[in-house]
Amino acid sequence: MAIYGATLLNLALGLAVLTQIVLFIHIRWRDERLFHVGQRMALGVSMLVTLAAATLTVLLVKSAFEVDYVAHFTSKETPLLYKFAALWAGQAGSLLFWLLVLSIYSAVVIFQNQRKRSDLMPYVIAVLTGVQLFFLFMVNFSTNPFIPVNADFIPSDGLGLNPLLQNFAMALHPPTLYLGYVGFTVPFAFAIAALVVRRVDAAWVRGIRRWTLFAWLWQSIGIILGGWWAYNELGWGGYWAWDPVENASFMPWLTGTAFVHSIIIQEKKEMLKTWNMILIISTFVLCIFGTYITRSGAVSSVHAFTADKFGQLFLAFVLVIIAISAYLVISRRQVLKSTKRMESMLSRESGFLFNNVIFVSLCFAVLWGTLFPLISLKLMGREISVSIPFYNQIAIPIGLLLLTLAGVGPLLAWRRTSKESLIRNFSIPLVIGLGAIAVFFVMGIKSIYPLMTLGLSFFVLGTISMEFYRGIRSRTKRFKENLFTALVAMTSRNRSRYGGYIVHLGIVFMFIGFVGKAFDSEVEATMSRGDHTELAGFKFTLQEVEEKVRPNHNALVAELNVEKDNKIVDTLNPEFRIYFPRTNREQQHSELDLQTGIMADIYSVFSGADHTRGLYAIKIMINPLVWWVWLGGYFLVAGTIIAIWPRKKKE
Amino acid sequence: MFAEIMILLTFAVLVIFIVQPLFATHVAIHSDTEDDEMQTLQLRKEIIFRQIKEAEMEHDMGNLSDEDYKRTRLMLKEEASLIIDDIEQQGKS
Repeated sequence: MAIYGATLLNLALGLAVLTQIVLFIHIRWRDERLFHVGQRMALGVSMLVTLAAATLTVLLVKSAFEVDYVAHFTSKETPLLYKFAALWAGQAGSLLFWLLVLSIYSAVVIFQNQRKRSDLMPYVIAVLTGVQLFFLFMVNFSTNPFIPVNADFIPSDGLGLNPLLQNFAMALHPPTLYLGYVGFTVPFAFAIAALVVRRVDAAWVRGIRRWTLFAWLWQSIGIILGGWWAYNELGWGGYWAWDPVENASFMPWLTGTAFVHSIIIQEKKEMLKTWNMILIISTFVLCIFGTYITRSGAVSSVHAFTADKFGQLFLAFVLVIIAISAYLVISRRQVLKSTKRMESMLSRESGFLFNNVIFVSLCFAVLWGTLFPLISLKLMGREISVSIPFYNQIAIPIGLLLLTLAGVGPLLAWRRTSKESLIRNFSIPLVIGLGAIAVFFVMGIKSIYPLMTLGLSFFVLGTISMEFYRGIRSRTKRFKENLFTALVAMTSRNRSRYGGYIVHLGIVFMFIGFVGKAFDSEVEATMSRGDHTELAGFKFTLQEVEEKVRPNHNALVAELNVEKDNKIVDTLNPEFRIYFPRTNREQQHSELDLQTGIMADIYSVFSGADHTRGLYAIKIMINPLVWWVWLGGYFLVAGTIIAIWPRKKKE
Repeated sequence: MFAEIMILLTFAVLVIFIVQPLFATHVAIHSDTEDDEMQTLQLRKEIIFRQIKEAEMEHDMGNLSDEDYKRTRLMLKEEASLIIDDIEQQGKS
C-alpha cells in the first residue's frame, strides 16, 4: 500500500510538470485540443493526490506501523477519530493534506469554469497546478509520508498522537484553517491570470468574490476553533496568546478581510485595482509564509516542527511568488490605473479605504512582532522575543478604530454623504454608545479601554439595529408585509449587505468578550480532600479525587463543589492524566473542566498531584464574558454563509 | 503484487482520460475574447442597475437624503447609458 501511495505522488509530480508544458503550448499556438488535454491533466493531478491521501488514511486506520509516519503519529490505542486526524498531525501528512485540499479546489474551479472565462482559464489552471507542483516536490523529495520505518523490523506499536491533539476541536482546527489558507490560492490564481491577460475589470472580481468569502469563512472558523481549543485544553484560561503560529493564521486573515471589503469598491466603482491585486497577492503569500512558519520551526512556537532544509525551500517559493507577482503588477500598471477618484472623505468608498489601511497596518505590526526574534538574531546576534504586551499595545487601539468603522462605514453613502444624512443616521447610535459608556462607568468600569470598547460596541449595535429596523419598516410600508416576512425578504434579496451586518454583529460580540479579559481573576491552591478555597464570592471544596484507568491513559478525577451563598451551584471535574503510563514515554496532561455562563466562566485546572500524600494542586479562574467570544463566532459564520449563499437566477 | 496491479490500473485509466480529447471528432471551442468583452459590459450594466436599486432602497429606508439620492441616481443613470451605448456598438460590429 505504501508503495502505491508513493508512486501516486511520483505520478502526480510528473503529470503536474506535463500540465504546465501542455498549457504553455496551448497558450503559444492556441490549439483547443491541447487546452482540453491540459484541463484533464490538471484533473488527473487532483485525482492522484486524492488517491494518495486516501491511501495514507487507510494506512493510518489500519495501523500500518511499517510506515514511519504511521508509527510516529498513531498507536494501537489511538481512537479512530484521531487516527483520521493524524493525517494532518505531522509535517509530511499535513503537506499532503494541503495538497489534497488544493486538488479538490482545483477540480471544482475547472468544473465551474468549463464554459466561462475562456481567456483566463489556461492561466488559472497553470497557477493552480504550479502551486500543486511545489507541494508535490516537497512531499516527494523533502517530507514523504510513505517512507518506511528506519529499522529492519516492523514496530509492534506506534508512538501515538500527542495527548494535547486528542481533542475534538483540535481534530477540526487544522483542516478548517487549511481550507482557508488553501482557499486563497483560487482568487490568487485568478488575479495572476487577470494580470497576465491584462483584463483587470469587474469580471475577475465577480468571479472570485464567493471563493474569497469561502476561504475567509474557513480561515475564520479555523482561528476561532484554535482559540476554543486553547481555552478548553491548554489550561491557562485564555484563547489567544500572540504565538507566532497564531499570528501566522491571523495575518492572512487580516489582509483577506481587507480584500473582502475592497473588492466591493472595485466591483461597484472600478477603483483600487492595484490595491486589490496587492492585497490578494499578499494574502496568498502570507498563507504560504504561515505554512512555512508553522512547519519550519524558523520562529519558536508551541506548534512548530523541527527546522530543516524544508524551511529554505518554502522561503524560496515565497520569494519566487513575490518576484513574479511584483513583475506582473509593475508591468501592468497602466491597465491597473483607476479612471475614477474618491469624491469625498465622507463616503462609503473612503470608509472602506480607511478600514483597509487599518487592517494592513495591523498586519504589518503583527508581522514585525512575529519576525522580530529572527531580525534581532541576524542584526544583534541574540534572539529577542516580542511578548503579549507589545501586541496588545498596538492591537487594542487599532481594534477600536476598526470597531468604529464597522459602525460608521455602512451608514455612509456611496460617493458623498450629505450633512443631513450624517445627522439622521448617526444621532441615535451615538446616543446609545454614549449612554452605554455612562451606564458602565456608573457600574464601576473606570479603565479607558474596556469603557471605550463597550461604548463603541453599543454604538455599532445601534447602527446595525437601525439598519435592520429601517429596512423592515420600509418593506412593511411598501409591500404590506409582516415583520418576519419583511426581515426574511429583505435579507434574502440583499444577502451580502445583511450577511455582512450579521458578521459585524459577531465582531461586536467578540469585542464584548475581549473586554472580559481585563477582569480575569484566579487562585491556585494545594488541597487535600475536604479543603476549600474562595474566589469572587464562590467557595470551592475538593470533595473527592477518584482514580480511573482508561484505554489510552490513567486519570485522577477531582470532584470540586462550587458554592455560592452556601448553596452548591455546580460540581466541576478537572482531571490529571498520565498518558502512556508505566512506559518511558509517560506524559502528564491536565484536562480542565469549566462552567460556562453569559457573564463569566468558572474554570478549573487540576495542575499537579502527589497522590500518595493526598495533595493536589488546583487552579481556579473566573473568566468574565468569554461566552460572548464564541457567540460572536457563531454570528460570524452565519453572516458569512448568508453573504455567500447563491442568488436564484430570476432574482 | 497488489500494489503493482493498482499502479498499472490507475496509470491506464489516467492515460485514457487525458488523451481522449486528442481523438475526439468534436472539440468544444472556447468562447472568444469578443464574447468575454460583451459579458464584461453586461456585467457592468447589471452592477449599475443593482446600484440604482440599492440607492432606491437606501432612500426608502431614510438613509439617503433626497439630495444624495437624486445626485447618485443621476450619476448612475449616466453611467448606465454609456455602457448601454457600448453594448449596442459591440452588437453592431
